[in-house]
Amino acid sequence: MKKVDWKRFFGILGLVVYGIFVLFPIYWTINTSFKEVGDVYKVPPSFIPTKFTLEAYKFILQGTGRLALSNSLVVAIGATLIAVFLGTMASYAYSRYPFTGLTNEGAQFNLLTVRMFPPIAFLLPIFWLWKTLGLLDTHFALIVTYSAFNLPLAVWLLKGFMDSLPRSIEEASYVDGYSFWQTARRVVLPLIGSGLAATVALCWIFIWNEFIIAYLLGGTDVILYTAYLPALRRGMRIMWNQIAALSVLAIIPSVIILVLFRKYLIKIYLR
Amino acid sequence: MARVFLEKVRKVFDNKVVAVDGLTLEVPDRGLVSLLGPSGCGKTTTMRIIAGLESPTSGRVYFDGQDVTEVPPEKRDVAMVFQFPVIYPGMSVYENIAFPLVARKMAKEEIKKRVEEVAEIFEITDLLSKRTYALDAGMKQKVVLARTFVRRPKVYLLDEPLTAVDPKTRMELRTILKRLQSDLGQTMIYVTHDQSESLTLADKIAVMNEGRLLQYGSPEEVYSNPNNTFVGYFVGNPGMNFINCSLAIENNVCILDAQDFRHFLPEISPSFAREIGQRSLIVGIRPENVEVSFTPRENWITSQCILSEPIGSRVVLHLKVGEKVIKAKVPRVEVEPGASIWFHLPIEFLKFFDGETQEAVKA
Repeated sequence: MKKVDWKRFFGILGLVVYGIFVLFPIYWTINTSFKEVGDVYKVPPSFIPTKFTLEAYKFILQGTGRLALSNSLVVAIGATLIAVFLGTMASYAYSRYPFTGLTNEGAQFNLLTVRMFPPIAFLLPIFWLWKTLGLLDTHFALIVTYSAFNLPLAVWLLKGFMDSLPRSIEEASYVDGYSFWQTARRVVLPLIGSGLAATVALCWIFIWNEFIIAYLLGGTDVILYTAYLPALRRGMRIMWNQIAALSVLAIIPSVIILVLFRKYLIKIYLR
Repeated sequence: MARVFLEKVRKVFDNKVVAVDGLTLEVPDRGLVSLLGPSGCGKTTTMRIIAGLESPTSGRVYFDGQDVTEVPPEKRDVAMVFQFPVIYPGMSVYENIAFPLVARKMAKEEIKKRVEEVAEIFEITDLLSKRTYALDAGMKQKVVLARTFVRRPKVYLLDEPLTAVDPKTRMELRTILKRLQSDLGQTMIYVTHDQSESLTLADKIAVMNEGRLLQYGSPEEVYSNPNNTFVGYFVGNPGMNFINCSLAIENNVCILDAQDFRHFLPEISPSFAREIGQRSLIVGIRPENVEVSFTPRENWITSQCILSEPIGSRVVLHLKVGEKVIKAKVPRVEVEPGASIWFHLPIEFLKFFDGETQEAVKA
């Protein structure tokens, strides 16, 4: 008889349990999104829709849901690009130039403190700030706020990649006849490409899934999908099938980004 | 091709560390000058100032009489090799070598021709299409050297290019570099802490220590007439013997008095001895110039051999006299430790240095 490899057996068993734990909510969301709302409340719940319907998707894609999703895309893409762009510049400065009057660590810590408080601690003053400027409930306000909250993360992640890039590579490039900006484009950027991809993915996840800023600074003219989700009810009845449908649609961009960038994301943890 | 002139160049880091201190140096057009000195003597900083990667705190840098102190490195037209091979990761060997030519917007065919030529010289033609990450340090440095010699800049700057490579590749590359320099006839500045590399490669050697230029001259000059004790110690393998001594005169004959032994120097005129004999002196002699005998000789100094170190075909004997140890480099012999050996310091090879300033005393 073949000897059973118990270590491997329990390893796989553990992974299977963990897989179910992680995947079940996703499966249940997809399952719910194809049900009629009455079906959702049935006890015991059914593991496949008793009557398969696209009703919920139709509702989401025809009404405010579509607007909310497109608003979310505009804001998340804009804020991610700005945070990563400024983060790249700032992390280069943090990595390469000394700060006067403050150590580099000190300067970087100051930046990171933004992320040490819950956003709600800042949001009231920020709310009044945008309100005074008359920019409340605009794409602009949301994009700027999200970039500001994610800039520290971008700087912190990218600085690690910049630090691992030896200074002498840039110097060799200068001597070989490339100016600072040519070196940045032809030598530095390709080498921190994986860092950029990982940073894009992480910033995207934080911004795309964010609720409280979306809820307080947007909500009427510019509604993001996270703020729209709790509005999906009729009277006392929560429209779980519509919430599930919107959730499934909202997962799609994140899945695409994670699948595209996963090999770079791993690098952050392996570093 | 260019004449490089450094005028009173001084570099201070963080307002306290003086890396280069008032360095004035002229590198002739088409010359191969070696900056020689121990680690931290300012030679690398000097190179970086010439390349434009560092700007001097004060002083000027001239190429062919033109002030380039404020010119950024990409506009100086220099090529530099760093101590540790700097390869552009993610590019193939070919792309690495072609990189400086691409910056100059050269035509594709011309680039290809040049890259292949230089790859031939460094014997890396079969590597051209390869990725760089799998190469070992020696191969990487070959690629870097090829990237350097693929163009004809005003000055080649080589910062300890052979330190990080294995001894076999080092010998091979040293030969290639020497040949390239004589073929191309380009100005080349070569930083090294290896005195034998300096002596074999350079037309002129600039010995530096603690940010200062101690001596600048041909290898023969630096080797046989060191300006001060540091140069004598640093150039040569092993370095010069130094003996604290004074000159005395007995019966109108000059005597070198080193406490532990006395050495007759009838060749030195008493007037010279009187002139310099007042102060404390250091006498220096190269180990290869110390004469030894295994049988007693008249007026030679008796010593005990405490150690014999073989170096290639020769052996360095450590000879103990009282508290002093003199090294003598002689053709290979078998010597029992503790054996008595007689030695003699020929006057023509003795160099006198001032005991305080360590500077050479001119006869």
